[in-house]
Amino acid sequence: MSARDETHCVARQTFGLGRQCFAVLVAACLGLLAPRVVHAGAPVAKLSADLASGDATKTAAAIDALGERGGHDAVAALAAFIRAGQPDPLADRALTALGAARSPEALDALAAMMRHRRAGARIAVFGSIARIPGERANALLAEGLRDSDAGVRGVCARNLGERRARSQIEPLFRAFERGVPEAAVAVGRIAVASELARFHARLGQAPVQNMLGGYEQLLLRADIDEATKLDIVARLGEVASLSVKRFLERMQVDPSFKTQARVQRSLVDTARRIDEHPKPAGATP
Amino acid sequence: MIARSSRAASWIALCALAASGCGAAIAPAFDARFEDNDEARIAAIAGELAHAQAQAAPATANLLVATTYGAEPALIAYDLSQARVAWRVPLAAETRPELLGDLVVATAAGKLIGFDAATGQPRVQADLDGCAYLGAASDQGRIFVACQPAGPKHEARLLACDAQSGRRLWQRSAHGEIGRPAAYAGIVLVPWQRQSLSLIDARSGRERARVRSRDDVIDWVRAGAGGAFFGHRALYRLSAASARVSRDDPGRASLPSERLPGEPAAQASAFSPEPAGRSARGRIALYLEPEAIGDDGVRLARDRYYFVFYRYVFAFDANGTLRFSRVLAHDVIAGQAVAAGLVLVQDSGEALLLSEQDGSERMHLAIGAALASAALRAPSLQGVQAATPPVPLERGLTEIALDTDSRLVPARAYAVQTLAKLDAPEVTRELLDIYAQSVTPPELKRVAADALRTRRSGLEYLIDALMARYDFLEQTRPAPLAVIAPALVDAHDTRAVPHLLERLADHETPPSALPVLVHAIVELGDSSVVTPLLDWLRLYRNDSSFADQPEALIEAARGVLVHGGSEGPALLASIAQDGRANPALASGIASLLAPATAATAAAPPPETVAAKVEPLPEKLAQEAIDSVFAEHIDDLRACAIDEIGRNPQLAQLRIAFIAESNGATHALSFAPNTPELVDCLYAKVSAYRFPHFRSGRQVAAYTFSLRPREQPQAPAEDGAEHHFWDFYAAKADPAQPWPEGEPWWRTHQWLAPMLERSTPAPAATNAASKPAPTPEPSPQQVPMATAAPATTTASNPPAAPAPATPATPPAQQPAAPEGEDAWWVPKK
Repeated sequence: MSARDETHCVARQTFGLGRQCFAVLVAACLGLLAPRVVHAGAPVAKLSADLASGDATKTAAAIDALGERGGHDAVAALAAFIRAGQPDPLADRALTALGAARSPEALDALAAMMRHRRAGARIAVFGSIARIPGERANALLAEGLRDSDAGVRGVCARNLGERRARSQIEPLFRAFERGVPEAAVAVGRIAVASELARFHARLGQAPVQNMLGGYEQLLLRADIDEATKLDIVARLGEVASLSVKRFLERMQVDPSFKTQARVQRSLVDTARRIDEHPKPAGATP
Repeated sequence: MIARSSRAASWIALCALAASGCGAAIAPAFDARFEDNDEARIAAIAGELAHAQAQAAPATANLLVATTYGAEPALIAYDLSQARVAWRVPLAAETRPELLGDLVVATAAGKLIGFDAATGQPRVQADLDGCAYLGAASDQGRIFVACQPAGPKHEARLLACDAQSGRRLWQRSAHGEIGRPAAYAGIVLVPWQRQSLSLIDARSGRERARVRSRDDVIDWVRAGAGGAFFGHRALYRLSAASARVSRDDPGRASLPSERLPGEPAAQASAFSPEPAGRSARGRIALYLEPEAIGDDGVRLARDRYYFVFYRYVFAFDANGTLRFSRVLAHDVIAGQAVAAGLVLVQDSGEALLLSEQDGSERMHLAIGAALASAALRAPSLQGVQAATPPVPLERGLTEIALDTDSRLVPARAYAVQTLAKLDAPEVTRELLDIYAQSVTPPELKRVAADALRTRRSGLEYLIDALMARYDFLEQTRPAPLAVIAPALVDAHDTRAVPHLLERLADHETPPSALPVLVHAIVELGDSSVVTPLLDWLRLYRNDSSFADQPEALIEAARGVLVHGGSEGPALLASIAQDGRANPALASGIASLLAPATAATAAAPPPETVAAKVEPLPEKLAQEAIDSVFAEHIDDLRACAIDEIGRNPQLAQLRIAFIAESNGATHALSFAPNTPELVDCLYAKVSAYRFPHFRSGRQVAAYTFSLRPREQPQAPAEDGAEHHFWDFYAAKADPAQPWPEGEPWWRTHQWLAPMLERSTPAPAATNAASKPAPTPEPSPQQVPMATAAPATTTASNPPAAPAPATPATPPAQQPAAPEGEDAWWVPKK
């Protein structure tokens, strides 16, 4: 799990959104603090024996070591360990370790766990899948967008965006249209200019706060032309909410716009036009 | 002086009463001493009615009269034959208008007003003198009005007025309720006290005969050229046989209307006034035409009757077979079964004629005003070519079931139950759709679920439905396993097992459905399910998601044991032996293995087992029901704890259901029936299986007490029982003792000493007992003293049978001769 992921999880926890996500974070932190009892270079048989030792410290260390070692045997040992039924922290740790293995075998084992009944376990599964390169991993992540748990969908959407999974733009768009805020960011990262009309179509229908993450990505991307960015700023100006004003003000100071004077001027002008104290709806001018 | 004068006044009053013949002469009508069920008199009147010359048909044959709904109340008449408003009169009517021959009568401002049915011109007006109008009939130039005078409810009045002048011809008072009369051929037929039918001479107002039902209700009466008919749910014909009116009368026509929602009578009640304004009254009704057959029989004309429930129409054969059903756009406020079909008037101001054959519309007229109440006479109305195509029976019922009108849930439930009786495989799919609709109310879902469990055709639709799974992007919902799985188990359709296993592996399967799902896998599966169940059990044996609800895991463990053959116990033991299984699961596995081990250790030879097989009991005993619930008490507790959180005052849960002989259940109902509690309990309880029994089915109940029950009264140290009266005796003021041995009636009833003088005193064998009257305890008294608890609950197990003799106070000692030491004799 990346630092960014962890920050996101904390944010979700703060807003009471992702208990499972928090559990994964705690498991990860515990892993960092745990003493390294065994070495990653130890034989798989020895590590497998440690997994079954019943000693929590030894077991945790063996999980991490097997993940770092990777390979068919290590993955098989971790998969068997999970299937044998573990307490939540150990199961999540093993699922995270499978991601560290970064191998196709690990992907098979993780795919088999995508339908684990506990959402925290599935978050760990998709977090691990996201660490494994390849188009198959992208397809599995896209499957996660169908999950009933918002945390799982968020992890999948965010990782698809980070992986620049252009092949999954369609399910990402659908997830965005269903109100997954992380999907808006992912679409902002990988959509091309011709696809933006579909994104803009939700402006005024979906909460603008959910869309600003996507617009931020689009404004910051170097491959998006200036006209498109000016169009985005103009559209946001039409929304004219305080959150849009704050967003535009924040974007003005981003260093990337120093070379895009027209965009920066548009950001400044649009933000200035938005009233700091908008009148309530129906009020007479 | 005053005393003397009052005594004289009493004498004068008594003399006057005697002189008036009070108690000697027969009053003209409604007299309690009138001889009822005089066969000769009734036969004579029935003969007069049967041979009466047919009266001329009214000039306006097919007419609808109605009060309008809105700011400007009016009475309108609509000619159904010519499809036009015949006339309209501004009138703030108080009661629904009625069509009496060539008159339309309604009440307004306390007066009965008669309008010419053809022109709307007022023809007659009669003052009701504050008597509340119940209904009227007309015959031979007279109008007969039943009304209720202001004041006590137990008096009613029948007025006869001249139909031309409104002049009152005669008036009869009745003790008790009378209903809307019917009149024909010089006889006024008046239902009275819901049990009698007075047959009154129209000219003189004298009662000529009276029919009194021995065991049925007389709630309405109608008379015409075809004869006179009366009844409530059943139809009787007035004939010589009416002198013996009872439910056993072979000539009567009975309708299977008891099972219809709202339990409508064959005709609208004659005892309920029909308001002129909008009202729910009359929106649940049967429409039919009685027809005379033979000397004294009655049947339904065209063997057809119609049931209307607000906007739904059901047409039945006389034997109760449903022929068609329709959903209408608006509520029906009046109707009539005619030769061409069913004429209906909707509150939207539309009149329809539905074909008798298939329910297709043969006429649709717009009256042009919203209506509040209406009356109809359309005997000769003929429709045109069908305006709408017929609706197949299955589709009609499905439309009703899927209708979103939440007022009409009972009729929708009836439609679902009727639909379930159709054999077509597609019905299973329709029932599933009804269940799965998000707008379907919970009570209807339960009916659909119960109906699905009775299906034996179209099971492939249930299996197909198992493939449905939740998808956030597609916005699809998971299969309703709580209803599908039990239905498949009941049908023992093993084709479902692979799909059930697929749902088991799906994390989107709701936790609440897992116990039912696993149970279905165990019941339908074979040895092939052992591996998937074992894998699933192993994966989740230590997972927090099952920490609070281990039922599904324990059921999976049972499946491993059941289908695992000789290896089953070992496989199961491997799940629990390494200490990784959560405590509830480990405990469950231990209890599963314990009897298995014991059974293996002490398994008798197969022949011995076969020899010990006992026949099934006739009925499911309450102990067996309690035992099954006791096994699942944790399920109930979990739901109960949640419910107590919502309702801290909750004292008990009651579960009622129908148990089938194969141990399955359906028609579950819960009290309280909050949606959360029902959702929690339904899936669980419907999966319980009870011991098999021989009789087809039975109603069963279980009560789960949520409060510490009262401590049973401990027997006294001397072993004597304590009774409720001991408590009050202890509270009694000792300073004011009851007169020793004095019966209470001596102090409260001044006649008692006189009675005692005339009653021979019993022989006193107990010196402590005073001579006292010794009435035998009435039949009602003894059971009260000896009755066993009426209900048996789990928390309140069946008590020991009460003694067969009357209970005796604690001081009671050895049996005394009856009448000397009984409980009603006061003790020292």
